[in-house]
Amino acid sequence: MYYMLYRYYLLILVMCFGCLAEGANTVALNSEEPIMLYADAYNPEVTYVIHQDFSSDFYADVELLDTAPFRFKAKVTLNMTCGETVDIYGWLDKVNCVVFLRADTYQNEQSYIYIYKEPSEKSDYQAVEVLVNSDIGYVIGYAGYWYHVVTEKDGKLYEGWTKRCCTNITNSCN
Amino acid sequence: MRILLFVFISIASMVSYAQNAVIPHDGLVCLYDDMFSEKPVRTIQQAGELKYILRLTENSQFRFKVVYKFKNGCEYFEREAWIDKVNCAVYSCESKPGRITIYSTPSLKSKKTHFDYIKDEPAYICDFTNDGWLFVVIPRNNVLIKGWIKHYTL
Repeated sequence: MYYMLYRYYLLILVMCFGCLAEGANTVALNSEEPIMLYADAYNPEVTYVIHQDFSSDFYADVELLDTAPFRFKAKVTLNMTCGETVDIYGWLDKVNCVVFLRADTYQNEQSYIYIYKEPSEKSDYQAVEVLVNSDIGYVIGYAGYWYHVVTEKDGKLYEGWTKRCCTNITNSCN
Repeated sequence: MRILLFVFISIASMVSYAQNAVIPHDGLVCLYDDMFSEKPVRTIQQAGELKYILRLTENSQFRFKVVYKFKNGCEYFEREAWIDKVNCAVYSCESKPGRITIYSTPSLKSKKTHFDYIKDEPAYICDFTNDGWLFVVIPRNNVLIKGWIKHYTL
């Protein structure tokens, strides 16, 4: 009896960890400018400066771990050209964290993404024309699979939630 | 004389409602030429008597457009730039002895919450109105106090 309960307990534990892993949020750092990694959510102490070089395939993978009003706590994995990786933890300014927007629908050879008011497909949305592989959303927050983004199109800002995005800086985003 | 007095009061009231802020630390601060760009156009740093006053003129998700004022020798200079919000703060004033008041909306009639006053504790600015209200966050003991304040100092 106790053995069965223990097995169920383990199963539930494994499922919970599985859900957490699936909900992990990644973002891209879309710049070859130096990007500061800070010691905490508010102070100016820089612990590391990230220098990406896309032509040399030297880039960072970023997993978001926690959120504060202006910065994300992140695990930054630096991918070296020799195939090795280095993990660094710290706080990134939100303005540096982006996702590449994907299309929800196509009309007249144009791609559109739905930017939702809430992190739910049942909420109101606006369709924003998007250039797949190049238009980016600056990440303000996240919830599960959803990203709270702001994107600029023809000088106008659109803010809302989307799941249609990717964070792979080296491959196609289709 | 009355007209002069009226003009003086009008100017004084405008000045008191200017949305000014300070940089709450002496570290390096990057300034940008727009609300999203990654490349700073300038870096500034406070030191000793060299302090910057920031006048908030425009809001965006991550940055404020500011006119920053600084003293170089005997002269004051003003320049315009975008600055990350984490570098813009004020210091809240006591509403009652030992207490600060946070409002739920930018109105004195809105719901009030009182917190202990801690001297020199920065209140980071997230938003502002044109009539003197600031939406701030105050990180304190792993709790984030947030809401609108009307009384603050630089």
